[in-house]
Amino acid sequence: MTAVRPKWQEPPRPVTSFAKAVTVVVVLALVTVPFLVVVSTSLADPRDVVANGGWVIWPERPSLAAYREILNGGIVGRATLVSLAVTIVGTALSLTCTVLLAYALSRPGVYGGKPLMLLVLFTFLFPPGIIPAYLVVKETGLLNAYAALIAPVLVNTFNLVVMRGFFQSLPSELYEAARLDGASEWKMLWRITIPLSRAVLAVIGLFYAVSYWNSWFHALLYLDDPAKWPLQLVLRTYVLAGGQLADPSAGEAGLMSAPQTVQMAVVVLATIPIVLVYPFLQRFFVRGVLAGAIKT
Amino acid sequence: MTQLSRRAVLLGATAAAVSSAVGACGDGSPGSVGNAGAEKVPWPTYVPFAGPPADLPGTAEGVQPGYTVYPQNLVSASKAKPGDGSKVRAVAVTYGTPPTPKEQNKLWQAINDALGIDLELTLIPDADFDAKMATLTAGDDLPDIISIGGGHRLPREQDFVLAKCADLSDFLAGDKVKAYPNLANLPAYAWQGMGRVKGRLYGIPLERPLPGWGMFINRDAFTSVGANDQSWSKDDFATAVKALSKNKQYGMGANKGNQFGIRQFHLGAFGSPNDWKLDGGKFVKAETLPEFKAALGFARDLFAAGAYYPDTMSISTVDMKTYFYNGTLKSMTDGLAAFAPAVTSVKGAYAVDLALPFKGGSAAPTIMAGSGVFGYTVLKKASPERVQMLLRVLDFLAAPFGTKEYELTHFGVEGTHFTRAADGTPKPTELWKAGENVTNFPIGYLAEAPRVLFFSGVDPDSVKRLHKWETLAVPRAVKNPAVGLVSDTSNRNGVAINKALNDGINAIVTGREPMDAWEGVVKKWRESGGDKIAEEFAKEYAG
Amino acid sequence: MVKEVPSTKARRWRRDRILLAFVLPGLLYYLVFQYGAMFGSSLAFLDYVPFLGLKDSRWVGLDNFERLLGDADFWRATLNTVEISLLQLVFFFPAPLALAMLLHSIMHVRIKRFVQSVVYLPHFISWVIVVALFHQMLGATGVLNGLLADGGLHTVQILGNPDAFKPMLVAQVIWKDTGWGTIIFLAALMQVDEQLYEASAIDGAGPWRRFWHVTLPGIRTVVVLLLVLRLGEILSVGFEQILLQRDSVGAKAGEIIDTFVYYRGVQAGDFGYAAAAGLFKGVVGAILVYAANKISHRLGESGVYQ
Repeated sequence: MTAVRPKWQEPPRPVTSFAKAVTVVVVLALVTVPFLVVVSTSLADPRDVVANGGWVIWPERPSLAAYREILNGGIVGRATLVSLAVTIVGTALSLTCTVLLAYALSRPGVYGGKPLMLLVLFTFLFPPGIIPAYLVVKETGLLNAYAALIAPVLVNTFNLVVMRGFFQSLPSELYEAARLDGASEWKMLWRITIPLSRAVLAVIGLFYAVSYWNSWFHALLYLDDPAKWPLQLVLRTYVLAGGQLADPSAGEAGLMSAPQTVQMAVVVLATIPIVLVYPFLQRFFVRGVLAGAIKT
Repeated sequence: MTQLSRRAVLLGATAAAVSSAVGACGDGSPGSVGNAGAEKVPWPTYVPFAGPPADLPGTAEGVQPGYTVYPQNLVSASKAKPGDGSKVRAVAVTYGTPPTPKEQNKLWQAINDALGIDLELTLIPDADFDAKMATLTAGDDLPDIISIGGGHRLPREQDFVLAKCADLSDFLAGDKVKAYPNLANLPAYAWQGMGRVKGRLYGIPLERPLPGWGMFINRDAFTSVGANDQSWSKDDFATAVKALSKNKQYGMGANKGNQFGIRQFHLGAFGSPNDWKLDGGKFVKAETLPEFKAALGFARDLFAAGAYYPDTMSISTVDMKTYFYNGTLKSMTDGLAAFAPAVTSVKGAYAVDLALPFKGGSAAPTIMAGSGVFGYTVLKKASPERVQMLLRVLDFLAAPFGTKEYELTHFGVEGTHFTRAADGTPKPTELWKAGENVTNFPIGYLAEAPRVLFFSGVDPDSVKRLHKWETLAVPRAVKNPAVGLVSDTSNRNGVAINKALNDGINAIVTGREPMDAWEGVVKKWRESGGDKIAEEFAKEYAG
Repeated sequence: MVKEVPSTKARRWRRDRILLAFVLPGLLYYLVFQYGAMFGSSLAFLDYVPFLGLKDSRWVGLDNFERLLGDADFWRATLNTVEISLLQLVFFFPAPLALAMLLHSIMHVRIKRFVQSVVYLPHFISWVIVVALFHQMLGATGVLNGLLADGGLHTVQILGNPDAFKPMLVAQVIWKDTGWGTIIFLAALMQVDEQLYEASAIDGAGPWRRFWHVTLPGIRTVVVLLLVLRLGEILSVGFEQILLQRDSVGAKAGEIIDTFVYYRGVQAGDFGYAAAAGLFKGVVGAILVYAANKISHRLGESGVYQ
């Protein structure tokens, strides 16, 4: 499928086409090769990884040992469940609160709408610092609770503004007609706004889900017990900061473990959900991102 | 075996700071003091446990007793269950893998059962200990038992201990400790290494043997390049580690936290004092002396020659060990406690040994003595009855080698975690090897008996090697005169002040800064509080 | 007339009751976690000792700020922050524009879609993973150095090298967000009037001249707007990204204001002082963002505030 080249445009010169093709391939390689190395290393035989100094481009002798090691009842399995739960619950709560607030703020002339909007927008100017945010979590008694991973980031102001902007762009005639029919605000939200906003809801839901899935700093700050940590923090602590994921004295006799295979297996595990969800939501990106964000 | 003390008994720079941490307590107001002028309670009376005779005897100087065979008749070190069945929350550092949850963990269950408490142990990875303890102590809901060790310090540790922790003097000072016979078996140097707070006892020390660190070597590899550590010069040493650095393997192993092993190994080779030198009542920092600079320059040359692992600055202790085990690194500098796990993990692929220091300068080579403690354990303020109950729990955990309690806290449950060989030696089971062990459930960080050399399931020759090394090295050990002394400046800003030194060392060894940048680093250290720390140590020493 | 006002208000209130119920959870969030935290910034005026709490910690007035202004480490962190921001402005900012032009010029729709799918992906990958990927590729024992060593060439120290730290940060941002950044530029490119190109081509303008005289003016407003907004955020550079890597190069090269706050506050326990640094950044940042928005309004754009 090729778009039609407009008549005014001269046919591309071979050199240009070639250069363009090369650039595209290079760009694609820059993005994909690191993933390839990671997946390969995670699947390689530990001995090959050790012999090659910590990585392989292609697993000559594929082995699932690293995955078995991390999923064998240890912290990685638990952390994956924590991450999934926080992501699902957090996204649901965030999306609900954001839709409700955005809807209310999008209705013209709503009581207290203007000061409320200012209240919201001011946080753009002055986001809370690390230390004060920590203090609030401490004072609200959320330290060490999973709620500390959700409550302090429940509504993202940017997402709220985007959503409100989108809701405002819906034709007001629809609402007026509905009101004449005696529909309540609840009904209008449910019957008019939401069905017309699927793209923006999908994208903002994705934004929330990705940020919950990828978050680790809040867990580091608010959860003392590593047994409660989500996957990304486990990844950060046991891969980047070099804690121990698997006991080196364990494992088969004579098999020298290569930490890199295990580490890369965790990286793969933490990436998989993103890659799985991504294709389904991709078609909404452009519409969702541009809606209301910046009107040119 | 327990894989205690990763950074082992504290790095040079932090040793004084940590070991004196409890001691360095003031009331939090400006101008607070340590122990100078305060009325001091006596140290707990030392009542040694009459244990099984060692076949490799220890010495008063600090060589640990070694056992190549396991004692035949174990005694019981406690009469009744120490606990009252209540829930006890504790927090400690870990270098292991997170343990399986209590519900599935038979080791945890067995220890809980023997202690008679419901222990909830929160284990914080070494890498996050500073951040986590800072926030944990900020919370209102403190655990009952807090273990502070491994080179870490809490912010305002002195304020914290005084404000929130139980004063143990009335239970432990002098002869009172005899009510807890296993705590009475902790040697005086451990208590002194921990120190007092405003003259009073607030903690239980976690004892460590005198030689704090060593350079672990792959003996086979070093022999293969003709190196002999019985009498080697710095050139012999350099030639050997350079020869071992090829094909993505490296002669020198270190990690991002131990400054290329300089403080732990090279310093002794160049005849430097251990962290501080006591010079006629004045304290002089090792870093300000020419010996230190010589050791620094030596490490820098080795790094430039490619003898160090190139990614040293981004690998953790755990990574370093793993690379040592799998043959990527031919040596590493680490705490002595890393010996047994190393022997086990290497699985006989090569002989793990410790190297004697080479002769770096004109002075006779030495080794750096540890502070005698890994850290210490404090208790949250509570009723005297509860404090006594917790002390009984800690007393149980400190039961010495040769007791049934020691067996449980070090080898687990017979039939589950170990089986007994014909000679009585506990042999680890698959469950233990797969991770249900005291590396991953490091109960010993709450309290532990004085350490002896006995490694279950390990080639007895390796015990002999380590004992032989200790016999040769311990007489050369140099102590840190600042251990147990107090400096308010060090307590408030010691971490930041010493970090500048470490940053300087890292920059110079890796070649990012020229050698002559060192003077500037030292100058900055002096100005940012180093000189003040030295003065405060001198005052405390005199008072 | 005067009488009607309260009744209108009352009616509005009745009408909007349900809407106000909608508002409640969100409002509560903003009051507690955003405004509560703003209130919590008062920590900056205390010698806050965590285990003593807000009540028992000593009020020290502006002491923390005085210390801050005289603290060379803080200024170095500020300088690092600004340097990294400017580097990003120069090297990262144009990258999505260039990629967008490339994508825009691809005629084959399927190829274009495929390339887009691939280049958007890194945006969704966490910083932890991005840093792990970079380490695996460019670390001292990573792929690049492994290949160099196998080829008998000199290895290069990229990670853990303070001199390379800032460029490397920018490279990571480019890798992660260039693709995502193309969305806005692509939309802008689509909106450039087709007829202008045609007219220009008929006048004999080649591709370069058309780019210069049609494309650039057509997307100018978007570019300027984004640029101004970015300038407003000059004190904010990726906190998580840098926190993950600062230790490998030390504070001199790697400290930014946010990590300064983290290390001083959370790690070293000097909460009041760290909060002061955070507040300083917050106030200056607020002024900059506000100014940037004013400027963008001047430039005839709507900014993010409408």
